Amino acid sequence: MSIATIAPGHESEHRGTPQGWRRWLFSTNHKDIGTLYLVVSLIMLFLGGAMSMLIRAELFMPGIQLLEPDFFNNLVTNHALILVFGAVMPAAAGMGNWMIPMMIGAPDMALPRMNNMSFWFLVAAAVMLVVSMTVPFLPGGGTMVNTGWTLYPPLSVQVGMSMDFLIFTVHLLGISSILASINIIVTILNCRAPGMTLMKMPIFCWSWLITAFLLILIMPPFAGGVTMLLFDRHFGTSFFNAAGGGDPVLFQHLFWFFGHPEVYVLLLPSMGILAHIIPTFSRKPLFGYHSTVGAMVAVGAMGMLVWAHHQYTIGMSLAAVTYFMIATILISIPVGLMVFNYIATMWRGAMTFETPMLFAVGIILMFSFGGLTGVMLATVPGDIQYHDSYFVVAHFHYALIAGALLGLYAGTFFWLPKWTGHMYDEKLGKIFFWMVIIGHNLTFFPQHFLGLAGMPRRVVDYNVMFTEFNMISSIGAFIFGASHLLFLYIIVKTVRGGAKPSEKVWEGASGLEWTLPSPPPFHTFTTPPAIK
Amino acid sequence: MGNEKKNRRTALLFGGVVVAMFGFGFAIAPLYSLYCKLTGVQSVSNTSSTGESSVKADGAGAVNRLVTVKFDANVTNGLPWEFKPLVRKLVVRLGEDVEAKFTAHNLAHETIVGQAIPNVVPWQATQYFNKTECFCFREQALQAGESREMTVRFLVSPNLPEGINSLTLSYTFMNRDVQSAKKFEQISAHPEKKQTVQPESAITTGQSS
Repeated sequence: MSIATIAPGHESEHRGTPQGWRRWLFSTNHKDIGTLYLVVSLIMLFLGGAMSMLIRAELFMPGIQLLEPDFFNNLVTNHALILVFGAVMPAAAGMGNWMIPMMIGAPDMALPRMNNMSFWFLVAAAVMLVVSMTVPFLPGGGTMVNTGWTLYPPLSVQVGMSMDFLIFTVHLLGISSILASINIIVTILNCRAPGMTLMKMPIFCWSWLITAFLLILIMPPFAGGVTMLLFDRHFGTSFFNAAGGGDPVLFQHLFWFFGHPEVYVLLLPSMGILAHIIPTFSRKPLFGYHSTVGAMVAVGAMGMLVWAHHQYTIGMSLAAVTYFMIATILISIPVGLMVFNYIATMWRGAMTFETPMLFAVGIILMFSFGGLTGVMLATVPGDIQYHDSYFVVAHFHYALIAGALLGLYAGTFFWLPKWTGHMYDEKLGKIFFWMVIIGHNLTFFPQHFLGLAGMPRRVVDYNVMFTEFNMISSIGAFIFGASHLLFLYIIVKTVRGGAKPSEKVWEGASGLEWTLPSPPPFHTFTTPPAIK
Repeated sequence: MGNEKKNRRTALLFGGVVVAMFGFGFAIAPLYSLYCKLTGVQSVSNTSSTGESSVKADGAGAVNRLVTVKFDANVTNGLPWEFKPLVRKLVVRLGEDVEAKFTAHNLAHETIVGQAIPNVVPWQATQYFNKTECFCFREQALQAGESREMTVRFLVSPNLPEGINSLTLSYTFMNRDVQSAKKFEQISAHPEKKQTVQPESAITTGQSS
């Protein structure tokens, strides 16, 4: 366990920052790899976001104005895949890379070379995903992936070779996140500074530990599922082909066995970030540390056992749907516990509302709302009505934007001064926050009504009776999209310069990472810190 | 450095978990059927049930309750067949042995092997719908241009829950051969060339598009 045993000769070899492209390509430094992850996720955020702008522009009016139906469905598919796998997961991984070693007092990640490998696998996957999008435009490229991100057969067996590239994308992404997860688990289990017991560990590390465990449990079966898809497409097997005795529903089970815990993979790191932001700006320690950890473990464990609530309409037996309904609704208990702990932390605190705190409060409100519609969707009779409607779209955007994406924005503003050594522009940060909140709610709130009125998801055209709400939704989306140009500006401006923050940055901050200078030196905690 | 050794051991341990979970993905279907068999959880998609022993196929167990059975026939994109029921619907007595006929016609200039997949709507009635003989029990090969009548014999169990007065028996014929299915799918994807259902032209169409 002792980290002080690092050989001094080895240490001196690597002193100082490697220069040029070698610094990044061959990097084994957790801070550099964290930065790389964050940069890639920012690029992917803009790519996936641009797709949603096209989608909302097409849906501004009924009729088909801008996009071919196949291309529209392709955009819907890739919008989801890029933002889930390209933006949110890498951003969380980048923050994990940056912060976990600094929070637990470790000199670096436990397996630095594997860390480098998992990042470059991600880049390879991103390239493969772009290839999958472009091949249909080349001669002989076949049809586009138009299945939605769920990739259900039989449609996914029929589309052209872009599906094969997508399957390889999933394989690469799987390898990348499995390697990153193993690295994080090993780091947290083996490299904590002496005296930092698991139950003294910062919540962000706990949230990543649970996330990493989820990932190594769910990614392999999903990789297996898409491998079966590949075999059905090219090698004449019949895993999902009914004519050969297979069953397309098997893929749905494999997909959602991955897909549902994936929701918690996206959510938990952001919830971990909130557990640092809220105490900092309430100037109180986190209320109920133990129960928050327990709630996160419970969410992760229960999240593994509820996947079929995405499949109520496939004709499961009554016993099965009843179980999945009850188990799903039970998850709202630990999630609620987490949220109430955060609210209790704010209770009678000396609160100030800098940008990270504004995001934290906004997340609690909007994510709880997404959780509420989640309970509606968990009930079988309700879900059979809402299934595949815009109500579902509204629900999961409330859960994923508020629950995952905004948590990462909060984390960005919270830690950006620490990473860069420059204070961001508070006024611009607040403008960004309000644009995001207004844009997000204007986009997704009317979609609840659209769904209840019967508008199906993944359609390029719709009945004229849905026009008004769709227009409101599109205007909201354009505000939401435009706000991100401001986000980019704030980040670039902060990286280039700004007021120098203190070591602590925030008055109420506590934890090992805030004892380091801002920005932290290339190597930190080469001798383990003393834990009080 | 002892720490490095320990890290490697922990990483390998969780690498083992990853490999095990990859295997679990492939084992999920057999495990699920084993679970259903052991616990008796009914599987709705159980289409191979051969009927309950209490009901005799000669109609001795018939009761005086009538239900309408509708017939529906489909083919997938990759199968150039015509397939339709000879009768659209029948009113049958519960427990009575009934025969229904479908007709299939191969439009292509080559022998094609098809497999019919049955489906009963509403799904709650599936376990009470017992096929005693069915063309869907085995693969059907049709020569080029051949037509054939296909028979299904079934009985609807007297235990059919109250409230279900109408059933639909739907068949989807699929091309058993993946390569052949791909070929004909490409033809149906280009409707302007649909008239020429000849495999030779199909191949060239597929490559030039």
